[in-house]
Amino acid sequence: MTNPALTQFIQEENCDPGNLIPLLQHIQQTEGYISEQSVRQISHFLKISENHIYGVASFYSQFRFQKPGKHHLKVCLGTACHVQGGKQLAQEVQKQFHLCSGETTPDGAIDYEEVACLGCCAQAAVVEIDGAIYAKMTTDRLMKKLHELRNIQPVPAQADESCPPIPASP
Amino acid sequence: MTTLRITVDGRVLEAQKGETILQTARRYGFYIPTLCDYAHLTPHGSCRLCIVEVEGSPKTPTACTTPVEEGMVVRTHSPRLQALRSEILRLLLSEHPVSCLICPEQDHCDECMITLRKSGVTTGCRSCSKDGLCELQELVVRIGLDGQSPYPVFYRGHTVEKGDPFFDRDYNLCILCGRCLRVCEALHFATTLTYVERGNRTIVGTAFGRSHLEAGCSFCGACVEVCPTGALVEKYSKWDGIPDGETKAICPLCSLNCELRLLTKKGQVIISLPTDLLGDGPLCLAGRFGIPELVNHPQRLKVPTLRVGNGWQQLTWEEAAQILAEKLFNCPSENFGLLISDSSSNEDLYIAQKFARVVMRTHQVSTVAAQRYGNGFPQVIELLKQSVSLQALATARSLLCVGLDLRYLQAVVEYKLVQARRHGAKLITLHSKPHSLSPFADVAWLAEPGRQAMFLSELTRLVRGKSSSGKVFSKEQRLALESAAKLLSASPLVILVGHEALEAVKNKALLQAVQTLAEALHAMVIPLPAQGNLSGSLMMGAFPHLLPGGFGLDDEAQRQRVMGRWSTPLPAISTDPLFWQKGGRLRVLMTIGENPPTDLPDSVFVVSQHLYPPTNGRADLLLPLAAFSESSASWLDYAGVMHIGHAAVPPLGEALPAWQMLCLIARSMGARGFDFANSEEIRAEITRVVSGFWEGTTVDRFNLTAGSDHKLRQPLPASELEYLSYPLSHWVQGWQWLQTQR
Repeated sequence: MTNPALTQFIQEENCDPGNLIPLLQHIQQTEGYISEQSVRQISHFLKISENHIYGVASFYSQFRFQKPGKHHLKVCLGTACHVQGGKQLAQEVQKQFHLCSGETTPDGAIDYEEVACLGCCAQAAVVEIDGAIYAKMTTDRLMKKLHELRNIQPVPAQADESCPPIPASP
Repeated sequence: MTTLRITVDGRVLEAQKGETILQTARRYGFYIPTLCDYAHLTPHGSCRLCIVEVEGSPKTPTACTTPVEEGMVVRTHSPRLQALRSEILRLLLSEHPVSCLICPEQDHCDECMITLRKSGVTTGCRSCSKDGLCELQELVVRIGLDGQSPYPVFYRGHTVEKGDPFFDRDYNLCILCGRCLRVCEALHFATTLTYVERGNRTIVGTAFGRSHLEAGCSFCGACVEVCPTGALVEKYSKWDGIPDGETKAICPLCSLNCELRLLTKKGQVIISLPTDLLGDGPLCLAGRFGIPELVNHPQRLKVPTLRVGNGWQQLTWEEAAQILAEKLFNCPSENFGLLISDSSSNEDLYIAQKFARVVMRTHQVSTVAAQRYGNGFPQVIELLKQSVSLQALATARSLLCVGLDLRYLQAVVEYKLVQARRHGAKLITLHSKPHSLSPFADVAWLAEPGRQAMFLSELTRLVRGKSSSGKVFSKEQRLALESAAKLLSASPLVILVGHEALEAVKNKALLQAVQTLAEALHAMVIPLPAQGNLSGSLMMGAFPHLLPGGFGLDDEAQRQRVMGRWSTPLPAISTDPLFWQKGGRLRVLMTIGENPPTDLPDSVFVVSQHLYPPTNGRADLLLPLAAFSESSASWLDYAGVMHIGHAAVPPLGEALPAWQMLCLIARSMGARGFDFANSEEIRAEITRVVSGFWEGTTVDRFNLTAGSDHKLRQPLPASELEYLSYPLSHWVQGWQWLQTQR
């Protein structure tokens, strides 16, 4: 099964192997991740092997290979967050949900990413859920929040009262 | 080419513009340590060991990536460089299980290291199968570590990949030099290996963690050959240690007759390698990983045996020759038949036909080629007559591949195609199913063999500027035809015909279409039969209608000439090329490297000389045959070029080459002209009969007679690669695994 929109894009842009990264960015933007199917499709058009494409894409941490979940969780592992227990947050997520950075829960509810800094070190430890920043996070609060997200329908960018969300820095 | 002068360690050297410091220094015999560098591969600069000091530069550039400049003053060794290289090695070793190299007890280890071998995890050199062959180990000894390492050991903990039967991959030993992935990229259209992820998580792998088989690997083994450490090791010889011998041999598994380097240990072939991986090209899966298993198989015949009632009696060669001589002496010439494999050497084929014609006075000597190729056999012979060498691909501007799948076979052709593509040649493929070349071709046409001929004839009409023949082609197919016609007009054009096309059921029409197209476009043709010595069997005259030299039996002048050479009269009448199928007339059938036919009546005495026992056919006298690696012999490749291979090991048990067995019997029957001491003497005699028959030259195929159009039976079904009438998977486990995975 090929994606006709991608075929059209490749033909319109007249892509050659030099356009591999913009092409991957386009796929990530439209599909949310780099699927095996899309890699096969680019391989067919650019006449370079799928392994080569995967090698290029896996070099950049911006590209993900798993379908994103309904909710996006980012845990900061920067210096300030590390001091305030960011690593414990990450370990708890890994343990409770059996997730590694870049993976999605099997039910497709939450995707998880470990990041270096979210730009609000004064609020450490910080996590970002669906674009909203949650400050001074503890493992208990994070787990409660994540279990809520798994059971309840997505509520866009709304955090609990005890910890008002801070608008994400531009 | 501009010549520059540079100074290396105080010596003034002449360098060519565009060369790197490493290339120039190496040419003059300077030693600069390297790990990631490999002959003919693009420089990578990843191991950093080849750092040198260049006057005027505060840094220490890598010699493998720095081009020479006029007046450059280079130092390859200095205390500073020594300290840096030592440091780099220590960093490399911090991720490499290396305890043995830094262990203070290493000198006393020999006494107790035996128990360390074959442990599941490599913890140091003594528990690594590459111990003594590892380039990293050698460099550590050569450069030295200058004291204890301050870095903690970091074990990456990757699972050892043992998923396929050809080679193991332990990426805990990988130093990320990138040789394997660069060689993979250089040799194949579909690169299998790549760096996955980055930083300290980098590992060599495939897309989405697929197995090598799923990722399109053709198991050519090039990555294993270039790996400097024990990360990639072939399974067959994993714990065999350092080989004690090396011999040049010729691969008999297909008509390319690639040159092999057979590495031996204690009288056994353990590894087969290409002679020059990136020069002459790689070996295919069959030649690289199949050969040790083929020639060392435990079921190989070792002594002559005679069927007595329901059992077998072991004989000496003298007894066997006496029994056989008696049988043959009482056998009228029209009741004798000799069937020989078309993978046999020229010497075996020549002596076999001479034996049948001189001793038994019959032309009933043949290979199964006539049956295999069916009606298209004359066309196959015509193509072999015209065939040019693969070197023609270097200058070709367009390439047409018909029925050619190169995933597991004939890897060297893929390498030549990849090179041609890099020079801008266009690639058009025609095949019955998607295959390794189709994703990378400019036009890839899929059609069953019956329609392939139609496609080619339509193409011929198009390039001749004629109107369409009105045959039914879909709009897409018509577009493909038109673009193919346009691409093929670029000359020189080379048409490669794979064995799937040569052996197709309707091969006559298809091969005729190939010939017509080649004539219309003045193209060169390269047929690539799957049999190791089809050209040889034709040129040696191992067919009922052919004389040595490829002359037809009806060529009276040549018949007289051959009779003069052999000083014996030759029977005039030709015979049925499929005589062995009509068991009724036969009383003695001799098969050499062929399985005896299954449906022979009991009255036929069947003598079979083979590497292995027959599985389905019947044999009354079994004679052990020496493998190609056990005797010096010559082969004629697809283009009629002669290659000589040498004996790497002595014959197994009492096995003999076929020519030696036939000479023995001929002598015990009192025949003259069979007193050959070695294969060179036979080659000398062949040279007197076949013009141009010496090493490295193309024999004169001009006189090769295609023969009359016999009403042949249906060709044999095209199967996987065969060797001496057995499918390869019968004796090679890895090949069997491959068949089950498809």
